[in-house]
Amino acid sequence: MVYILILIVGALCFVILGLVASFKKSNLDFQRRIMLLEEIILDMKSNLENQNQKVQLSEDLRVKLKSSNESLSNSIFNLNCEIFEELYAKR
Amino acid sequence: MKKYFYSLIFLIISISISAQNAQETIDGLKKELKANPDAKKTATIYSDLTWYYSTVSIDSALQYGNKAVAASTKLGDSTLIAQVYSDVGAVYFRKGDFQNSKENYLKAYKIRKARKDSRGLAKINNNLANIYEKSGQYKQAMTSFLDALQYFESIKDEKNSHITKGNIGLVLLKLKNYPKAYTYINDVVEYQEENNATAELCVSCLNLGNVYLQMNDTLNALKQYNKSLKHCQSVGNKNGVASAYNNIASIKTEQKKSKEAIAFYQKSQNARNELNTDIDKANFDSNVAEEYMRNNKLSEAKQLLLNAKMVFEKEKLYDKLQVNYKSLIRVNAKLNQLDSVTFYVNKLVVINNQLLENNVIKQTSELETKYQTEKKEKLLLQKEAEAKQKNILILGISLLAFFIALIGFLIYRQQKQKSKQQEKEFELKSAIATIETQNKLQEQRLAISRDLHDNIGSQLTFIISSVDNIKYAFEITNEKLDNKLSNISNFAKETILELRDTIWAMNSNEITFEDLEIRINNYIEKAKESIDQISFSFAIDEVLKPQKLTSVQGMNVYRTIQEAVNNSIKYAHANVISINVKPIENRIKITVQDNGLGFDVKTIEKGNGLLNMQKRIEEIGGEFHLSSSNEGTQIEIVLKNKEI
Repeated sequence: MVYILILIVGALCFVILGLVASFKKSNLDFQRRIMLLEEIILDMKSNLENQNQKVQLSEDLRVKLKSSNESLSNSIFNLNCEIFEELYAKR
Repeated sequence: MKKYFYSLIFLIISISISAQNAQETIDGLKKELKANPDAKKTATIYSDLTWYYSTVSIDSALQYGNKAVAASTKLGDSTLIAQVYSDVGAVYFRKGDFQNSKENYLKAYKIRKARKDSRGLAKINNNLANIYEKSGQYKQAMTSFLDALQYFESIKDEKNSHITKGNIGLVLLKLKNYPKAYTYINDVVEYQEENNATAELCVSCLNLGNVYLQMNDTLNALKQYNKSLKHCQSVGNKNGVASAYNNIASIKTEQKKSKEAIAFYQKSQNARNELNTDIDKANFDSNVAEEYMRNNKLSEAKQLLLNAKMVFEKEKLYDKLQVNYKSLIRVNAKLNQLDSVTFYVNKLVVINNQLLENNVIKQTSELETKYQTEKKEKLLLQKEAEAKQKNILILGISLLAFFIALIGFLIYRQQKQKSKQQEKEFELKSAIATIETQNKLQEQRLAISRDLHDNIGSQLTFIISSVDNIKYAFEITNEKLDNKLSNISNFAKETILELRDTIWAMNSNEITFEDLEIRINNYIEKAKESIDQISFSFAIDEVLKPQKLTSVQGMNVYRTIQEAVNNSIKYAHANVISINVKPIENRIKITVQDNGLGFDVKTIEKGNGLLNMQKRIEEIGGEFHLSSSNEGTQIEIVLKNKEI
């Protein structure tokens, strides 16, 4: 009986050691995976930041183009008026 | 005679008593007792009376011993109880009742052991060793004496060390190692003489005398017995007095001085009578009777033998009776009283049979006891083994339960950790997915804006070429119309330049100062084409050339420099414009300086150009400084150098 108990206790000791080892291994794997994911996130964030800046530049340009469009439209409208007046005077 | 001698040696024990006369002390204690002291004092007095009576009257000592046990037990004072048991043990020892003596000493031992009283334990060890010695267990006695001696010597208790040495000497005397016995006992006597320990000398001198006697030195033996007698008389040790007289008488007998021997025996008997020990008295009577028989004083001898017979019959001392009957047969035979001889022969036969029977019964009983003891021991061992196995089993099961619980806990912890890890991993993956979506969205936006910019660019180019075609194909004479067309063309060109600059910034993820330098140089070259008189210089520190700026930072810096150069040409009419880019500590300093018309910075109202420059620099976390005088204007841009 005592020997059986010793055997069982010994076996349980091995199980415990195995569990502890697997726990540590799983922790290490997880740390590695997390580091990789964090690196990916950092990379993507920096990429997104770049894109955001480009979008910001594009937005600034859009505003500028809008005002340029207004100016150019006015200028063309004025030119048309001038041409119209000149052609009308020649008649 | 020698047998009697040894019986006396057995009766002499090495104990210490007060130096003053024992009887006087007893009387003093009794007076104290009459004054009705408190319970503790009463118990102490009973204990003292037990001790002092032990050398005067053993029966009285035992009576007071019982009272002392009852009183101290009632008080519950363990120290006093242990002392009383020890005293009672000593009394029984003197009486020659070693069984009761041992029991009492063991009771005292148990209490002193519980109280961790090392000194008391050593004393009891000493006394127990005396019992072993008397029981013939010399090896055990010697071991206990040596243990006690070692303890007393370690605490430098010379008095008890010498008492123990005396006892060791007695054991050696028993073992017939006379020279060693002499060394030990003589050492004790010398020490006690130096310290005037009269009470102890009473016993020690007697023992030394015995050693001398065994070494056939009767002169020194007699000298020591006389010394002992003197000391015993001075302290009132009647037992010692009786023994000393008895031993002197023995020597006288050996010297064939019968009259002197009888006189000393008589004195010894008188002293022993005072002790009230009937058995001892009977023993003395028997010895004296033997002496009378040698001197043919047959009637006196017979009377003494009859007295002794009564005591031995009363006490059922069959071995003594056997000797007594033999002596009576001899006396009666010498007196020619044949009936009496027959009577005592018959009695002797009966007593011999009785002794034989007793012996058989004793042996049978011993065998039975041995068998029962062995049986009980076996049973005990079996039970012990079972209990041990049970304990091991309980321990094993507990261990098993603990390990199972531990495994359960480990599995639970592992699962919990796993779910936490999965949760965190999921969070990170979700974050990646969100960022990815945002990235895609931004990419789509940028793609759309690029298409739009291309489209606008081509439309603007078409406008410019159309306006230029109209101007040259129709030879417009109207100056107003011609100006308007030129304005439209220039405006479109400016817009297209701005568009190109933005596309340049958007196409690169990072802009280095080197890229910026090329771009600004291009702009300056174009400016030079239109205005020849202006001298431009652009200097950038070599260290800063690979320095990277984000697209927004690069664009804002480029636009600010462009605006500054434009202002210098357009408003300040400068002919020297210099641009410097330098590292200062952990910052980058960009200076645009001209030699044109200055203005008062405090009073001038800032236009859109200046405000835009300031706004652009502040947007990218930089500082914008403007200074102007008659000698020209200086714009200073300070940026944080992230790479230092």
